Amino acid sequence: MTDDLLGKSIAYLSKLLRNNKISSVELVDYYFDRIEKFDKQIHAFLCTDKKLAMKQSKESDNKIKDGDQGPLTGIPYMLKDNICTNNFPTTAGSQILNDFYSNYDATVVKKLNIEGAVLLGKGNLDEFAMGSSTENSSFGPTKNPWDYDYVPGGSSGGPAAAISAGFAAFSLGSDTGGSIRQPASLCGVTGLKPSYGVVSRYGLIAFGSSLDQIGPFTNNVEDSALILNAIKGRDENDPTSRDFDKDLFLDQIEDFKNLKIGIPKEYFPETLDKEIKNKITDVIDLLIEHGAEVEEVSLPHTEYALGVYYILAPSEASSNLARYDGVKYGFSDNQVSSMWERIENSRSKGFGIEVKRRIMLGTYALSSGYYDEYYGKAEQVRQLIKQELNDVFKKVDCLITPTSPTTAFKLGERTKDPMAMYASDIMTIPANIAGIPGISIPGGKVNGLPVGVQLLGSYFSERKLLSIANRIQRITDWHLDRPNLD
Amino acid sequence: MKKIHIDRIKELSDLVKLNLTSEELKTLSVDLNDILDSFDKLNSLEINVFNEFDDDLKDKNITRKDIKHKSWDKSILLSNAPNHDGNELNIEYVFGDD
Repeated sequence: MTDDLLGKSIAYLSKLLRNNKISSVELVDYYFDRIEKFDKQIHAFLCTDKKLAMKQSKESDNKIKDGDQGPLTGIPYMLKDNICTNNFPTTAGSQILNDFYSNYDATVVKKLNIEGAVLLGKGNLDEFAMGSSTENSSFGPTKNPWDYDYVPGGSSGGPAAAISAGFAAFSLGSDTGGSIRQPASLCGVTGLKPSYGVVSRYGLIAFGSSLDQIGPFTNNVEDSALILNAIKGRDENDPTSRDFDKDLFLDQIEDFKNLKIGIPKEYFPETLDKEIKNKITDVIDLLIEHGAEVEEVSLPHTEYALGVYYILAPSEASSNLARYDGVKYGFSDNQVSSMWERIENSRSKGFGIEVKRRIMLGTYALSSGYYDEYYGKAEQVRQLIKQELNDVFKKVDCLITPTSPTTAFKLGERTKDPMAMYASDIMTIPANIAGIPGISIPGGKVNGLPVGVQLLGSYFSERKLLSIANRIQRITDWHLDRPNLD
Repeated sequence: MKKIHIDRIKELSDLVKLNLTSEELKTLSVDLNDILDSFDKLNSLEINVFNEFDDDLKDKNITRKDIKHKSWDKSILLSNAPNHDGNELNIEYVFGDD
């Protein structure tokens, strides 16, 4: 087996499987060869199970032989380790869930099982998805495949690095404030956050319940649409999930005529790295060259989004994380004399400092006398941000922005400064606050590190958004660029 | 001026059952004040119109039918518990010493 498969699309792999040019077992072997060779340095996986993957792939090969092949049958993938699985541990990157096995598969896993996709293992993440660099993982950081001195972004750093490094055909992550799009940008892959409600979160370990959404990392936009097709839809176990288009397909846009693209000026501040700005401008010029109408728009409340997020998300997290008590499941400190001591010691030893910081912040924001000042105010400003975005999408088809204000930063560079770390998500947070879809696609490199281009669309406009992003990838080749790991 | 004092942080940590070390208390005291300072911008914002229950899809409440179904088996529910006797969770005394 050669590296000919590196970065290849799911449709390409599926065709190889259909035409008997390769088997799913051989595909699993191919990815495990790469994982065994390179993941010691990168640390994208928290766990793998080759035996189980082989069993699944043999079943998929039989299905293909019987002519029962769907678009994902026999395709190997990785899951972020905050998505529950029956056969693999689910740690959420935390000591408090070390060795925890869920009793059930998340809805997205069930759906991928039905499709015949093959799970290779679980991906590293910031503890409970709280972070922007994967350095908050209790099991050590993931490194950026483009340069091991740099972070892969976060919190879904493992799943993003896995696609960049060619460890799987696709992966699933979760995005609460940019945790799919920002690492996709920093690792040079395609990352999609669907609209809130498109994908069931049943089995996703809750962080910020009004913000969390599951989405794919892929080699290109067509693959993202394929994965979204497989995992979308109403699930009675998640009351926030909704029915979505029966089949999401991409419109084959020939040019960008009749499309109006908005450039929100607040996403291009004076302080934005000039080289990143130039990369995004290159894409905008390309859109204009291919017939798009481009208009500068203003979203004046964008500057409040970070503040809103860092009240709402920790408030919801402080409530969601109250369930970890060392009694029902997870890490438990046994050197205690009372139940209260068990709870206190288990939580204190089981949670890392970033999780504690957010629990404390959220509890403060929700506490008597401060609720209106913080949480109430944040909810009000959230409505303003949503309204502003709704209004702008009456004028334009989508917005184009940088995904991240910087390229990947060095490991350790921001760990001592929470505010600097939080600012990493400044471009991605508004989409979560408003519940709208966003996608990051590669837009070239600056100093050898990838730059991401973010496209944002109106609520439930995935088909249009993905079609536009797909058209950009059909006239560019940035998404084909892969790091040389040898 | 500090928005949140170390004593208040200690009180809150008791509430959320986190036994913070003195080092963590010191770090969080600095971090939380920095973060709360950055929220001042929100409070400077005057909001005149506010639609509390804005709903893009004009959804009706979505609830599933109240149908009785078999719950999880007890052994499955207890399988992840650190201390159990196969039938119930074992915990230390909640009140008093014994």
